[in-house]
Amino acid sequence: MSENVSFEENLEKLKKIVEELESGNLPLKESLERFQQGMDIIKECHKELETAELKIETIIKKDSKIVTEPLRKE
Amino acid sequence: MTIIDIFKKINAVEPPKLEDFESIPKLIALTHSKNGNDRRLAASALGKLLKSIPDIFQAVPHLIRLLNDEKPQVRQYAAKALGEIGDVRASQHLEKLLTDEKDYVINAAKTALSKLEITKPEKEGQVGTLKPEIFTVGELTKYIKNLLESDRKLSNLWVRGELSNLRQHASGHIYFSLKDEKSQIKCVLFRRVGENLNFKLEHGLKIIVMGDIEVYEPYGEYSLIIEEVQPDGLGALNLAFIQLRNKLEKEGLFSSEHKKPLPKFPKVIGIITSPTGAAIQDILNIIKRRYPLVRILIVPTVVQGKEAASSIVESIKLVNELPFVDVIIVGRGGGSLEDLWCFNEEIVARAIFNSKIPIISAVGHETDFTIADFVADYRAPTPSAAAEKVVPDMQELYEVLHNFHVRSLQATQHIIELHKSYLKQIMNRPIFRRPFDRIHSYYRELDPITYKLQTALTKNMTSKRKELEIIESKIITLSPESVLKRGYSMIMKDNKIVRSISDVKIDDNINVTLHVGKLDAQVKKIWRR
Repeated sequence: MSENVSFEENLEKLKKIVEELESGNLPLKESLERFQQGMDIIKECHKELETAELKIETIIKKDSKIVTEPLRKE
Repeated sequence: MTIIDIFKKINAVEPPKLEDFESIPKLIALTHSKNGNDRRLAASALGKLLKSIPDIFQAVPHLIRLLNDEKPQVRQYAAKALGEIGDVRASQHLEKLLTDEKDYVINAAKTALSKLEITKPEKEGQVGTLKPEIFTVGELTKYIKNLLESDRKLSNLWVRGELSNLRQHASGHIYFSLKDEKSQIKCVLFRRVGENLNFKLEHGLKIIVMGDIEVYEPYGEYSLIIEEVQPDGLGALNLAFIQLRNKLEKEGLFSSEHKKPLPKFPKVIGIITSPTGAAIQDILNIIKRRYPLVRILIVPTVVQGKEAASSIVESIKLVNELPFVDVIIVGRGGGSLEDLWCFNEEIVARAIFNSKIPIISAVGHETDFTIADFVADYRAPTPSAAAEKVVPDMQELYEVLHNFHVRSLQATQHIIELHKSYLKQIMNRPIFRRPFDRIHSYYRELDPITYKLQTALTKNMTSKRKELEIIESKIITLSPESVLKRGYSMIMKDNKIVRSISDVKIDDNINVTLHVGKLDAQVKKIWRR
């Protein structure tokens, strides 16, 4: 899975996988593949949640250009 | 005639001449001088003109005005002059001078008042004896104007009433009437005052106004020139709030069809508030705890005071230039109605409405409702609540993930079970369960065939055997054995049967086979036939 897949997209994928699995319409081999995929995504999501760190910036307009800078810690 | 000449004449206390009449307008003009000394001289001179000049009464309103002059000497001479002229209209104004800060002003006022008391009946009589004066309309109007505008009670006055006949001119000036059950008064609100009103004037509105009575000479009308307006009952801000809310509601700015849905999992959140306020700290703390997967862009914004509204509008526009921002929080911590006022400004409401990015309003406390709250796509009661709303809770996400895990596990297990049982079902088919049944049945089919085959074979062999026996007996009959038995012998030489004498020579060894035994012999003689 690539980095730029959002959490939301991952959850969406998971939802689809679970629904497919629950429909019981998939051949066994594909079911097992889907299951593996699902487990990988869940793992990925967990990792994302555990390693997340809030990014805080301030933005201002300087000479009609938008400038962002990390928040100063006071 | 110069002013100086007037004074010389006055000081000489000579009987008035015709020229004195002409001097009155000049002296009245002098009461408006910026120079305090001129005003004092004018008052003094007017007081010294003889009472018999009827025109002197024109000067009375001006002298009354001078009773309020900033220079005590002007007040003193004005009082003296009024005492001399003896016009009873002056008495109530003179009474006010009895509390003046200067003793000599008080004394002058006392003297003047006592003169008025004395001259009162006499004065009335005197008015009667005067020849009726004929004013021009202009003079009369001017007189009335002076009279009204010099009355201190009619300036800086407060009056309460109901607004009606509202007319706004292109010039920006506003005209209306203030009325109660009994009467009404015309009012003028000049643009410079109107612009500073933070609520809208409407027909039927109950208001309290402050202003001065002025006479507009061309129409001969008096009206109240308004300096300040306040709503009666409600505070000005409350009223403005209600008015703007009603207006924007009518325009549909609050309707639910315009509310944009909030993203469930935002990646970038814009926060429009003061970077040093309590609100931003609350928001950051909560987001950090709940869902630290986001990027937060703080837009430093003034959220209190005069510049706040335009600052908020600018910030909303700024964030809207960034296409990757998913949602915006606009807000600040609690405060008084005045503190939060910028969130009730129309430009802020419109900026929120026009934002392409969904906006959560987060202003003040639970109970503070602002116009911004009505327009926003979601109203959070506090900045903290906005932070709770804007991001999902990580704990909940763990639960969601867990739920997915369990469900896919169960579903997959179910699929496996399904296949297993299917397999079992297949295994239970007879072909797999008793694979030899088929063979047995073949066997059974085979047996009779085998029997038939065997029978047929045996039969055939018996007949063949009989045939053979017959042939055998025939063969036996024909065999050399039986020939030998009958007494014949067989001679062989070198294992070849000897059939003729030509086959042998004398002394050849030959073998003779008999029915019983064999003989070796030698040819001794050959007989030819």
